Parts: sequence; structure tokens; C-alpha cells
Amino acid sequence: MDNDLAGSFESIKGAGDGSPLLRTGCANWIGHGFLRFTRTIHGVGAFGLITLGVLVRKWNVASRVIHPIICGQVYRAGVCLMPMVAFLALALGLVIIGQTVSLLSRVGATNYAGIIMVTVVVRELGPLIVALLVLARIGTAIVIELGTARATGEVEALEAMAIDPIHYLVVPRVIGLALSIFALTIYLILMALCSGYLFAFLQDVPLHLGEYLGQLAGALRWEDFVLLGIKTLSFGCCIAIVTCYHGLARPLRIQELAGATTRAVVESVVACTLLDALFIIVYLLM
Amino acid sequence: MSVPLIEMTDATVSAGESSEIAVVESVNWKVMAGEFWIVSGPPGSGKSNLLLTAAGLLRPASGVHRLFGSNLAEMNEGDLVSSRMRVGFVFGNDGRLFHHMTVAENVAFPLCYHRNCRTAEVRERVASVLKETDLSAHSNRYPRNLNRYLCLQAALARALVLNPELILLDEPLNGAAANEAAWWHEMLGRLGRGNVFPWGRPATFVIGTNDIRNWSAHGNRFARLQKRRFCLVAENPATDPRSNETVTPEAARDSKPN
Repeated sequence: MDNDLAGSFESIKGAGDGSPLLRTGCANWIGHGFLRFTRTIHGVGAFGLITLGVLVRKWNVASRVIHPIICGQVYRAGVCLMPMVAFLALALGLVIIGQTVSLLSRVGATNYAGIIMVTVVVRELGPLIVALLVLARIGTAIVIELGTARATGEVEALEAMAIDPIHYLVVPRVIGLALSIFALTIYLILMALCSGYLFAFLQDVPLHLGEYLGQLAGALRWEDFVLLGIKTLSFGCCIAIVTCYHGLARPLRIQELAGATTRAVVESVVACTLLDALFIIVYLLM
Repeated sequence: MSVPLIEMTDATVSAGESSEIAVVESVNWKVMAGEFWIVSGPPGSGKSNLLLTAAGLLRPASGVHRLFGSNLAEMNEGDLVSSRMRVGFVFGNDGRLFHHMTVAENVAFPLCYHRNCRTAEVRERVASVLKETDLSAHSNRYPRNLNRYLCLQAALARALVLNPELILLDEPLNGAAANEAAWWHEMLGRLGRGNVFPWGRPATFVIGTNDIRNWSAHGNRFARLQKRRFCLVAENPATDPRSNETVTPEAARDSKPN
């Protein structure tokens, strides 16, 4: 034990002066980072499985109490974000059509506009932008809410009333965020496709509405609809589980909430990006 | 022979956040129906953790804990929920009410959850509980607008709405004025006799307190936490001179775990 302590001390002393001990310090740092990463994966994974189990087993338990809470979450994470999503959809349409289609028209390739819109908006940017927006607006609020509930003992009060905190606090947020991200993505895609054509029309791009719609219909396959649904629902579940985990998984003091929120955001972004990469592979394989 | 409501055998009570830190060791304790237990001890002696463990909200680090005759370690989730519904817990300080709900919503909440109904459907029962706990005038107020004393009354009302057999209270009279203490004594006395509500039944009480004098005339079983030990003090306080003692700061320092 003493030797370990002495070794650690020496490695700290040696760090920064270019000695071999620096390499030991780096190895320690990487090792600690890797262990922290595996612990987080283990914790979030276990929490996700527990939540899934509670969701399935207690689907009908206290439905008249839980369903209004789910509606509240959908309102908060879905309806309240519609203006912001509309703004982003307009911007997305402008960026993609304004930049891409005008270039395509110069080389006489406007018949690729629909394919580009479908690839960029439907398959990639739409779900990811909505997920990040919901994470920023609602995910952070979830960590604060649940962390405060944990710190002030409300979670213990639920347990004292024989109420499962996962069922009352986590399940409505998981369902609410999954449904909200799914619905908002559809909304964003429709708005972006419409605004894209509007900007093309305003730029006098020689692209008729029927032709544009035909290109979109031709570029969309049935797998796009299925994968879009699965992708958005998994983004919602992922964000809700990671943020709820950081709010609830261990007793927090109020002072620790800021750190927990930062960790939750970083891990949610990483998880969504990894999920997105997984879906890209699926798209490429199909 | 009746089954003890709480039975702890060689149990070690741990701190809530860390199961490695023992707060009270070797607890051998039986709570029978109809008893009125007072558990005293200086601040930091582990009263709250002992009550949480007794209610089945914390697992003992070692030993056996039976709630209504069933070993907690062997209970499945359904049994645990059934047992917890027979226990009412009134937390200390502000009673841990939900601050986004009014007093009436707080009281209705456990009933709505377990009966799967809306607040309007349990209005009569909630109104009855609020009336008996003198909270009718505050039913539409939020906990942040109530003083600590009223918050604790609301926490008692929330615990009573499920008609528990066993009620655990953590420091209900901490800093209470004489009239507030009288209210609690009178209310708990009536609940012990089971004649507060038409659906009521005689309740058993376990109360954690710093100052045993507040309860010496009302309890019938007394225990004390000192130096990580659970010590039975007396069955009848009138015959025990220690029933008049209070916990001095010096005693508090002496009994804090090292």
C-alpha cells in the first residue's frame, strides 16, 4: 500500500519534466479515463435496463396518474419547442437549398435536389438537430429537476409511499422525450422540405414543384421511414436515460448539480453521435 | 401470538449514502402492535437512519430485519410494496412534501397512485384527512407558503391517507412551541386509539427525538441511541428517572460515532 502511494507520488512529481515518469502519468490518466468510461457505460446500461423492465412490467400501473405526466412531458419537450424547431427548419432549408441547389442548377443537375434533401435532412441532420435541441432545452432541465428531488429527499418520500421512483420519475420522461423527438423530427423535416423549395423558388432555380416532389418521392424508400422512427425513438430514450441517470443514480448535493448536468450533456451527445454512426452503417449496408 | 410489526436481530444500521459506514450496531428490537416507542439520542446518533431502516427504506448492512413478520431481504417487489403501504413515514424538517403540488394534492397523491384514480375521485377522503389534521384552510396552498409546523402536519396527513398500521415520525417536535406540541400529543393519542377516521384503526408509533421529555408522558416504550448502541431504557417512564433527562450538547459530543 505504502509502495503504491509512493509510486503515485513519484509519478506526479515526474509529470511535466519530460522524464519516463511522464509516460506513467499519461498511462494512469488514460487508464483512469477508460475505467471511468466503462463504469459510466455499466451504470447507464444497468439503469436503462431497469427502466425498460419497469416500463414493461408497470405499463398499466397507476395509468391515470402516469399518463397525464407523459402528456406534460410531451407538451414540454414537444409542443413548446415547435417554434424553435420551425426556425431551425427554415434555416436548414435555406442552407441546403440555398447553397446546394443553386450550385446544382449551374451544372444542370437540379434533379439531384430531392436526393440531397432526403439524404441530408431525413436521414442525418433532421433527427440529430432535434435530439440536440431537446437535450439542450429539456435534458439539462431533467438533470436539475431529478437531482434536486434526490438532494431534497423527495425520492425517499416517494419510496416511503410505496411508489417506485423509476416508474413515477423516469418512465414518463423516457416515453415523453421519445415521442417528442419523433414528432418534432417529422415536423422539422416537413418544414425544411417546404422551406427548401420556397428558397429555391425565390432564387429562381428552374425547379417545378411537381418535379421537386417527384424527386423527393423517388429518393425516399420504405426503409427511410422505418429507420427514421427507430432512430428518433432511440435518441429520445437515450437522452432521457442518460439525463435521468445523472440526476438520480447517486445521492447528489445541490452543489454537484452543475457538474452532473455537464456530464449528462457530454455523454448524451456522445451517445447520440455513436447511435447516429450506427444508423449510417445500417443505411450503407441497405 | 401476534407478529411483531418490526423485528430487528443483530442488525447494523448504515448511513444512507454509504453502506460501509455503520451508524448503529447490534440492534435487537421488536415493535409490537399498539406500542408507542420513543427512540431518543443526540443529533448525529443515527435516529433518522434507524427509522428509515425500520421502515424498510434502507437495508441493514448486516443482521435480519423483519417487517410485519417477513424478512426484508427475502421479499419480492410486490411484498415490499404491500409492506410499505402499511407503514406511514413522517420525515423531519419540512416533511419532504412535493413543492409543485398543493397541500391537498400532496395528500391525495399516494391514494391516487395506488388506487389509479384522479384527485377529484378521492376528494372526500382527502377533505376528511385535512379536516382532522386542521389543514382545511390551507388545502390549496403550496408547501413553500407554509411554515415548518404546517408542513409537518401536511406530511402527517399524507402518511395517514393510506391508513397505515405503523407510523414512524422523525423529530416532529423539534423546535415546536407548546401549543404545537400539544396538538401533536393529542392527535397521536387519538390515532393510537384509532378513533380519528371512520376507516381508521389503532396505530403503532415509533418516534425519533432529541428530547425525551417531550414524550415522557405519551410513550410506553423507550430506547436510546448512544455510542452506536441501541439501548432499551424503560417501559414506563414514570418509574425511570432517566425519562426526565434531556440530551445535552456534552452528551451529544460523547455519543457521536468516532
